[in-house]
Amino acid sequence: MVDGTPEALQHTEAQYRAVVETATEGIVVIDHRGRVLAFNRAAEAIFGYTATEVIGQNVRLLMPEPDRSCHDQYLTNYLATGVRHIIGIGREVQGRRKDGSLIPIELAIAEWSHGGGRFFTGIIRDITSRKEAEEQIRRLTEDLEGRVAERTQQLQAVNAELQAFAYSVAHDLRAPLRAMQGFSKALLEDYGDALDDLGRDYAGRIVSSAARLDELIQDLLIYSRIGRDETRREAVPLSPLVSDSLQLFSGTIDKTRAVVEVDEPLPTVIGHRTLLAQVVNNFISNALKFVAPGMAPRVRVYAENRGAHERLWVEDSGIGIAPEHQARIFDIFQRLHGQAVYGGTGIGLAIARKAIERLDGRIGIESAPGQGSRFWFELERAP
Amino acid sequence: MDPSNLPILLVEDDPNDQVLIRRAFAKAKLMNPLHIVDDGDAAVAYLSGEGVFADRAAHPLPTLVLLDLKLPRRSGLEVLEWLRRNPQIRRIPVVVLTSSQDSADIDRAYDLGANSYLVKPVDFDGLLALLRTVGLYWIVMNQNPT
Repeated sequence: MVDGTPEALQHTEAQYRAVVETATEGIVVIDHRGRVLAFNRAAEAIFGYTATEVIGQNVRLLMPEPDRSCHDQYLTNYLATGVRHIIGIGREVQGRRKDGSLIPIELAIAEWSHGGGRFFTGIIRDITSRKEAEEQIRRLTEDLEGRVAERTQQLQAVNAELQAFAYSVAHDLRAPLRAMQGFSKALLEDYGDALDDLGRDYAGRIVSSAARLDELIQDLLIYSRIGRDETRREAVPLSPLVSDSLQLFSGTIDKTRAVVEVDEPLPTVIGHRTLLAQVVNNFISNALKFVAPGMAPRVRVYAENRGAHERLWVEDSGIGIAPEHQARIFDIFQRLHGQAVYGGTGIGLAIARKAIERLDGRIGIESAPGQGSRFWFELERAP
Repeated sequence: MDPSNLPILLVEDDPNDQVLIRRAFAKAKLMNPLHIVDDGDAAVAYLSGEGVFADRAAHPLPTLVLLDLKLPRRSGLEVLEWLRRNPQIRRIPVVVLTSSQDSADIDRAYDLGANSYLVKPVDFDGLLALLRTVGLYWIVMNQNPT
């Protein structure tokens, strides 16, 4: 076949017809008055009309209101002014099926002219399943949000319960403790003469056990409060924190003849004053406590700059900690020594770790038995 | 007037604490008459001089109230709120004496007009030192409202 011959033209038209008829997307061709000239099979499937029912009709037949009433106007406006209402890349609109039901479609319109006439081709894609998927995603998201809200509410309830629990620990558990302590002390003071040494020893044990239980409760309360209380970040200069801590332990320092050295100036970090005071106090008290019997503690406090962070070191000359124990000393209730040798609640370093983690910092130790320990924490430097 | 005659009202529900606080008063040589009520409603009745507390000779208005927070019936905070709204007696100094270190309790107590907030130490010597200071400050040194 040769181009331009009637056979060839017939063949080309058959080809185009086949392309249009077999296209998976609906194709509707209209003239400048909106009259439908072509309506392919996919369009039939989308709208439920046969081509014969539609061809020759105004295309608004396929539209719901308000487009249905306005379409002629859109077309006139466009032809007069060139201002496009819909021509161009696909946009989402609603189509109207023969049975009156609505269908979400994506519509792209191309314009062409032929023999002095202007024509428009609409390519129509049924996006029902996409819309359904979107709707499902929206429902799932809503559902998820609902569940998150529900869980949040449950968590808040649990938190409130914990808070009530901590309150009760603070108040109700300490009251009988105060009575145990107070009355055994009253017994010792008011009736000490009536007791023999063993009797006084027993009463003394009640006094000291009550004191120890009180310490445990206090530390547990601090520990639980760290997770609960709001911690607003602030710039905290470490120097006053360290000197306050040394003041707090001045009794122990005097008694043990400890030598404490602070490499001033210490930097300012981003943290929370109360939380950091707890950490520093804990480090210092450990450094003063864990020394070989009869040895005077030597403590050195210094800072190390590490880029955007500052690390505070508390170094001691104490008994040190074997590597295998170093990880778990930061866990709650972990103690490496009997109460008689080195007293304590086993909560102090857990408090320190929780506080530093709450402030997005890091905490650690370097130590070896007999070589002393170096505890450190690291926080962002204040600008 | 001899400051050691000024009456103090202790609002405290724990009988052990009542005894211990009495003992600490004696040890601290605080001779002030110590009147004790053990719930919030009784505190309100005492301060308004109602019912069994109508006789002001036997139940005088206190110069100082020591107030526990966790009380049966009306809480300590409710007693405090009521007291501060009561024109006749609203100026009476109130020292909260409680086990609660809860920051919400502390803030609320000051918001409602507490003059001081003290936490009961478990250690008796601590309690003794605390009450000795309370006596010195609030009874001896403090200028009380008329």
